[in-house]
Amino acid sequence: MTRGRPTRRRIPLRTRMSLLFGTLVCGVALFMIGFFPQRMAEQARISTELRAKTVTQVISTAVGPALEFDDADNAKRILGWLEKTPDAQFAVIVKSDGTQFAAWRPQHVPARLPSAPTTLDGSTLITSAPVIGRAGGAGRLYIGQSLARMIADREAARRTVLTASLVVLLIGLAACIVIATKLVRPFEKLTRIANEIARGTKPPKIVAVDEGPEVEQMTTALGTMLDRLAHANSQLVEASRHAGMAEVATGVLHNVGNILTSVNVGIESFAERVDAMPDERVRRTSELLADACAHGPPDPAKVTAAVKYLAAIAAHLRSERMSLLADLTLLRGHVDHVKRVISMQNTYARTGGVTEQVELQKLVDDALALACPDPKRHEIELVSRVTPDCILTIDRHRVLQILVNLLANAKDAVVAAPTRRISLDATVEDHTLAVTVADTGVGIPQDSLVRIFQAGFTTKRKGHGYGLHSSATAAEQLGGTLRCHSPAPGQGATFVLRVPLDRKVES
Amino acid sequence: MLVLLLAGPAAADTRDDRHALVMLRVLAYDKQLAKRIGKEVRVVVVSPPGEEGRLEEQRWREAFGKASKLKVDGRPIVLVAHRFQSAAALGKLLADQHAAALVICDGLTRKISVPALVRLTRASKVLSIGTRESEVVDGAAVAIVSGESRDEIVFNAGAVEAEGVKFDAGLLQLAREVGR
Repeated sequence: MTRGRPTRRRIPLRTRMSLLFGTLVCGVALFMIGFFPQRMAEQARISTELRAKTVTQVISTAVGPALEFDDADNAKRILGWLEKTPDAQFAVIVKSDGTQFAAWRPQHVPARLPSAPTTLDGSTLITSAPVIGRAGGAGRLYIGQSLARMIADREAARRTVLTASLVVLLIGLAACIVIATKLVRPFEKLTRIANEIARGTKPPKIVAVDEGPEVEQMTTALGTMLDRLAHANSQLVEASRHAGMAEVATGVLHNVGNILTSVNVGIESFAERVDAMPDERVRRTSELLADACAHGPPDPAKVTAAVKYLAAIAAHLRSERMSLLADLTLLRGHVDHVKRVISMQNTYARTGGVTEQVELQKLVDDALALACPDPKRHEIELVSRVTPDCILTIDRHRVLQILVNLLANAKDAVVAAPTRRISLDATVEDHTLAVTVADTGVGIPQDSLVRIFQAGFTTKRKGHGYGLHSSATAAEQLGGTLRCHSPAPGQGATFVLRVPLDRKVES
Repeated sequence: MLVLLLAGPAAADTRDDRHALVMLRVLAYDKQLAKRIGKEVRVVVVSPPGEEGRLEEQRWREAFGKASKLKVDGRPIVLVAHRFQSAAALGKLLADQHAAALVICDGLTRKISVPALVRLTRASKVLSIGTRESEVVDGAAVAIVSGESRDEIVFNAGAVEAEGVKFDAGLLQLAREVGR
């Protein structure tokens, strides 16, 4: 069991653009929320540390002489400068031996002072710096600074950034939707117009939209395309009409051509026989009688001979008259067929066509007469096998057209072959007429077999490539099929026509 | 060179040790020290002649002896003791020794007045260091005096400058100016 591919959900352009812009705005907002507060906090910490270190350095330098000269009062006085630093919590100078030398706000001095120059102890920043006298005296200054203000400032900044980010996010999302809508609107208009064109609805005149140079250009180009499309469409219709007319003309020419060949042969035969009429002998007989009567009573023996001669001529004339009438009837039938062919092509009788009751044998005989009127002249052996006493209700003219084409092709094929034999088998089985035309002619190459029924394809030097195409089309119109088989070039070809019969065959 | 002038009864005690130490540290805060001296920091202790002078000399030798391991500005300390004979001799000594400081011992001022003494020190660009505030008032540059709770540095700004000394501001913050 095969699993079908899942259908991709198609998201409208407006939604996609809104999502895209919205994602960008959200990204910016998240970046602001995630980056700026942390960055600002880091900057604040660095700034606070730097400030604390600087103050410590300055005071450590200032208290150096006091430590050197053991002037604790002076040292305290200098440490007292930290009163002006609001964040300062304590300051203490420790001698190199570990004893406390001087302190400011000693009650805040922690029990253990850190060894690192900068230490963060909860909310207190403790910085230290060496105190070195010019004469070698040494100690260390520690200053403790509260970070409460820095923390408060950091929180305030974070709230500000968060608020600003939310505002930016909301405004940005709204702007995204507005911008997406504004950008997409002209494309939606153009899409509607394109859909109308695809449905075949003639769209109204495209009005130029003032949505920017690109959209304006697209609109103008679409309008031009529509005009050209309409023009090309009309040209195509005209060309199709001409092509159809050409096809009709070709079909008429081909089918009528086949029939005219036999009409020509019939007319030739008719002309020969008319030319062989014994009118000269009748004239001579009348001269003899006139001569016999001119010199008295005619010789009865001569009169009797003349009467017998005239009777023989009359019988011959009668026979010739019957034969000529039969030929004329045949010619009339051919002309009628020509008319029918022309009528069929003119009206594109696809589903039309007149069905009539036809004797199968006669149908075959007519086809053979039309396609091969004088087989002996070309030394062609014609063999036909037809289901006897079989009457069909069928489109006679269309089937006749197909058979005439197949037999004409077979005749052309065997003319150049060493063995000239054409066989035709016509049977009715399972309410289907099956006619097989086989020849011992030049055969058909395998690569031509797939193209043999295409319009315009021919293997004959003077062929139009229309006969088999029209035959296949006619077979299709009858609801049947026309197939071809050829073993190899030089081994003849076999064509099989199958046509379903609508009514019960009468036999 | 430190000239030790014995101007009073001689006695070496912890106070003298501190004073000696402070005197040396004061020298360390002289920004012009390198220009005034050679490779050694010579402290001239000038004492008065006689027994009084000998005691003073001994007192300051002991006091400075405990500080002998110190170095001032990377230079070793050399103590030069001198019994005052005459101003000329003292002046010659100061010039020859390239002394950094002259210590006025107790009793010296009975033999030579402070103004006369400081004329010699100013000529040789030697820092005069006394042990009484009155000496600074009279013209000496610096004195280390014992206050109520601690020792105190007093200085005469004009005398300091006249003797070619330029003290660091840190020291001046701790010291008390007199004699202006």
